[in-house]
Amino acid sequence: MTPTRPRYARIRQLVDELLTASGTRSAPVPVEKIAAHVGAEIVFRDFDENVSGVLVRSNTAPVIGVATNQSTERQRFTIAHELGHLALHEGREVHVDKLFRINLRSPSSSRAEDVQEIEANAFAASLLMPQLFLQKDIASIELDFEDPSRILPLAQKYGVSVQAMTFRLLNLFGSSERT
Amino acid sequence: MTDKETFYKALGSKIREQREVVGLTQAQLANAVGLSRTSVTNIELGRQRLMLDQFESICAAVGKTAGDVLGSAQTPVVETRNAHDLRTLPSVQNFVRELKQAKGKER
Repeated sequence: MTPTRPRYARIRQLVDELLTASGTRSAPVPVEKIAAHVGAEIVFRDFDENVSGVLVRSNTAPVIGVATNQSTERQRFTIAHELGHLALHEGREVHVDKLFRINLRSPSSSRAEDVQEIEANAFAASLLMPQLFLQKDIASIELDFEDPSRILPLAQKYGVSVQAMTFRLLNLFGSSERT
Repeated sequence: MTDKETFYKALGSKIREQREVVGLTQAQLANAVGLSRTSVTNIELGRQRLMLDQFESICAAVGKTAGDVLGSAQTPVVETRNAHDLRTLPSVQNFVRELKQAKGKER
């Protein structure tokens, strides 16, 4: 089944269920433990060809291959991203995630695949930076999107990159009056 | 949606992201680069294609180089393949092969 637009409500629901089922109540979210909880095996591997992660479902238990030549934060995001594909997208046998510049995107890449990637990224962001956790954390500090030094401690606490945290905060709390 | 539309949408959202990072309003950015606010709105939505010099001015106004903004317009693109279609990705092909062999041994 291929959705035509990202199913954000469904993603929130799936993430909430996973966090509850794994007993996760605070950051950093134990993404490897959650993978184990859903029966996925994680294997770190030196992939070349710009591959950041691979989801293989040909085995009885799904296997997530994570590129070793990435930061810990990026590896956590990759695992969460592949968990998103696993939860949301019916399985082709092998699912490869690469980083491309958008202007090098192959003409054959279709909108349906874009939606799957958007969904997997939204899933990863929700899982690693749950809205409820962030609301508690930023209630106590004054949030300033323009000041990366304020975002850094938050990113470190959640085990994500500053860029990922900035993007998540803007998505969740970025006020529309700024436009 | 054509590839060009996808590209300008992605570029527009990157411009918006950078503008918000430095805390400029659309009107302030428009003023800084000599465009109307409507143009900035449309550029950010990918509805208006911009000239290279305009892009350069916008990047300068948000304190970035054009390369920074284009470079950040990276997006993960999925390639969904079956195992027999992995010839161009030998490292992944080997990985899948090893997994299958490991599974065979378990039996």
